[in-house]
Amino acid sequence: MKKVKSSLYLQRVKPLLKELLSRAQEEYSYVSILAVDAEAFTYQVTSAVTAMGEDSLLSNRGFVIRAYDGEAYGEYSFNDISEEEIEDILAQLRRVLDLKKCDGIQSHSHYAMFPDEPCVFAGSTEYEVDPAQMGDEAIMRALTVLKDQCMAYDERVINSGAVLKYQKYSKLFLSPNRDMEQNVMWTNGTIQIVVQKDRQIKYSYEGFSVLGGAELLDSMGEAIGRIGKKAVDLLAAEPMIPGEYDCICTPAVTGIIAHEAFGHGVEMDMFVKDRALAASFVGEYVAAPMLTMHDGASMQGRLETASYFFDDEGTLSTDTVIIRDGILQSGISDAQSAMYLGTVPTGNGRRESYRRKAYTRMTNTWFEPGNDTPEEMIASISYGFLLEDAASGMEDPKNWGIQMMVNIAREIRDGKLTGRIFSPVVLTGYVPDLLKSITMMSGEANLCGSGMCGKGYKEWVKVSDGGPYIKARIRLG
Amino acid sequence: MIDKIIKALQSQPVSDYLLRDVQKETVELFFIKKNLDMRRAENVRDCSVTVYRDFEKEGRSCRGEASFTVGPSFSEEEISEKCKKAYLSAGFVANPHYELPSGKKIDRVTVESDLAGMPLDEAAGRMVQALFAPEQSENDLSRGVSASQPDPSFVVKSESQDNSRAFLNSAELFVEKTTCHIVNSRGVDVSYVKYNVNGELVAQCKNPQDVETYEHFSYDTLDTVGLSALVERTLRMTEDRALASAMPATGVYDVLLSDEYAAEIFRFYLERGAGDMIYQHMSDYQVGDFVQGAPGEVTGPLLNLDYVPTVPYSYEGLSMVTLPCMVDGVFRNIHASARFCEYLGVKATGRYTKLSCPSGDTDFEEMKKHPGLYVVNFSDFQMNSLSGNFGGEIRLAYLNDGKTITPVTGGSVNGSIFEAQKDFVFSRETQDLPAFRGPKAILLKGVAVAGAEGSPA
Repeated sequence: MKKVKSSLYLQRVKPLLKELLSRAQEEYSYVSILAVDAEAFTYQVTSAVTAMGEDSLLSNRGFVIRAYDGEAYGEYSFNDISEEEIEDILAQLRRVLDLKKCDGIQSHSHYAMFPDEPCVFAGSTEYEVDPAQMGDEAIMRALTVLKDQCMAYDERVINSGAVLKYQKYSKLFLSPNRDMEQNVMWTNGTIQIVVQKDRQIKYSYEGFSVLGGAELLDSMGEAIGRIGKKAVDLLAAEPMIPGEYDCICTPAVTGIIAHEAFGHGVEMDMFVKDRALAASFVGEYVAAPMLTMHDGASMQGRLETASYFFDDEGTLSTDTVIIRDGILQSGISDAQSAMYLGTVPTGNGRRESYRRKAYTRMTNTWFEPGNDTPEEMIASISYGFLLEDAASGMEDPKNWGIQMMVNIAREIRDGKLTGRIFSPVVLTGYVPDLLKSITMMSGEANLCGSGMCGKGYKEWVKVSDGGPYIKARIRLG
Repeated sequence: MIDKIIKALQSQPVSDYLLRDVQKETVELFFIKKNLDMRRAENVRDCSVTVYRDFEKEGRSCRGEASFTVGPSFSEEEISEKCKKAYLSAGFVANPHYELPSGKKIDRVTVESDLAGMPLDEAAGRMVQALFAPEQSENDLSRGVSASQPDPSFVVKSESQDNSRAFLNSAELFVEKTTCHIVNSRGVDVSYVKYNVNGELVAQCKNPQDVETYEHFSYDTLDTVGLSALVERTLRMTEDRALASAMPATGVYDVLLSDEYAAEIFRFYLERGAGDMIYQHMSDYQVGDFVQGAPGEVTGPLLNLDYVPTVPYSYEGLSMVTLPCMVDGVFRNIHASARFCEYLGVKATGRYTKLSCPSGDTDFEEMKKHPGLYVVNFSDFQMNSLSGNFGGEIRLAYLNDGKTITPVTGGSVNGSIFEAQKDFVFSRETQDLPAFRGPKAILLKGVAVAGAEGSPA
């Protein structure tokens, strides 16, 4: 295993950033700077097109300076720094802090100053195969092989594609008492198969992820048969008959329940705004006693694509037990929300990029495994469904309403899969009802970090989620 | 920066390129209730560079491409290195050859807006006033009862319920100025300045139950009236949601959608008409085909849709003009980049992000009297352009059984465009949103709703 290297650019400008920090400290009691140098590439091979290039969302180089004016915080994002630029950056920062005098603004929040406890840190994640070293040609060749295998799966396949994406980022966090550096690389893959029968077009896909490099390519090929079968099966899918059923959720569906249905509700910036029902349930049963749920980026926890050493506010990452044995323990928080609530920040203050505000965000979110097997779980159902292929979900922290889409519900009758499948399927209901209805969990928790998470409809950050197979009572439509 | 990049490109054997130099300045305000909780600004300039490479592979002519982004902090050496890598990478992208758009230098265009020329912080202040104006109106008794409001509630409150007033829980406001300069190796040299105000707001109502409603907004003008109206409508909707407790019964309903949800239905046609989707067999639309179902099965209006530009120039610098998408249900034009247009044998149009549709001849108020379910708020409502399925979880709907109107919450709508498009009903009233201009409301007949078992709520 090799370590991800530091950004030479950030090392070069670090003295300038320290000078900016020092000059800003002359005016403000607390100042911090986050510096980012991130490079991300996407490689895509489909039966119709090929593409490669930098990912414009994930590739960025720039800075955000945050200052405290004795009452609250303001930030300025920029992407150029030199000795000559420093005075202009300070002028812009002053202008930002003056925005509280804008017309129409009646009042503003009052916060204490960040504690800024001393910390000097440097850390890097590891990888086996550096995608940059492997080279574009080899990556495109590997993806082409995967695409060709997909096209050969069935004569009804009309398009297929294989995608590899990686991001390598370096971050510096500087404040009067903090000097922190981290270098991280993650890699994602996707395989999609599209099939057609008459005018009906159906598709299935799977995501793959690793906190590491292009070694991920080795594990993608084995999924093609599974993905192809799902796509072809969907051609015979029937419309879902609405109702409440006993269901088995695959780890991907379990993950979306953990993330969308519950995780967003324990982001503690929502507690600050009185937008989360969870705030009034701490210490109470919100799930079956067999359920324990985590979120954390800690390198001592589950390593996935959202693992890091410190967050975008300079807080070291942790592993937070959100639900233990069915009882809600704690939420996750950014530094400013924790200050407001009088809690300890959990290292979940994340930005889409240096250009965006930090919010409380999930990282790797998952349910601990149980002791059952998927076969035993299916055998326990007289009539119900096996839910596969999580498609999307939307949070409802205020009311704990569930809205999730999955692509496939496989019918189970008398403990056996019948071969009938239904699609698409909407999961609805009340989150604690679903979590309390869990009666079986398989013995292995699988996480996948191929997706991104938004807050509302923006602020995209890399996350992973997952867990074991779970058996629960769920309303389907 | 453009000169520095072109110089670096010329140091490589690069003959063709596309540069998009974008500078973005913003003022950003974040509120918790009426408190300004965080203020931010950005001034960032980035240039995305696409490098093209022509080569032969297995006897056919190919044009590969690879892209990267550089900012003002990148040194000449770093830019040269990126150009070199991109040129090498482009050689592994064996796409069929196509011609790049050609053009000439055209003077900078400023997209018409009353935001132009106004300092961003001043515009922010005006929009903040508009944001909080509805709550400022202490004597605004019209909320929920005024027939003159564009989207009246069905639920009339008595004064005794006055303590159940909704309020703004939180809001985010972004005022943006974007300057975009597009240059390519074939003479295209165009630029524009565009202003925008966007953001989101959350309204909360605590009684009789604690609920909230999320809305997002985007205006290319200083639309203080529009923002205040949105806030007013959201507050009222949230009060109604606080009263809703029953779930609609499982069944088939005529479903009325308005505002952004009506617009979302049309995204199906925008994406099905996209050249990249057609080329990759993700859409079966062919120019000249009747695409609104099978001929003869449409009992409602035949669709007449136009692609509408939202910026003066496409990503590649193609001039964007209004273009017919569908005439009487017949697909008329593919919209796509130069590459996919050439692959499909049509003139390059650029890829559009907005459709327009003529209004209908039914008053919105009449549509609301139609028995069925008027869904005014989903947790998320999505159209899947590949499958044609649309749906979402209901946060607030009004169930009209022909006699009474009841606010309901929970359950989900699950429909198919292939069925719905046979018999649309469009409102006479119109709306203009970032991705759609057309009827404010659309009635979809016979849509499945998953809800409570048993008799209707």
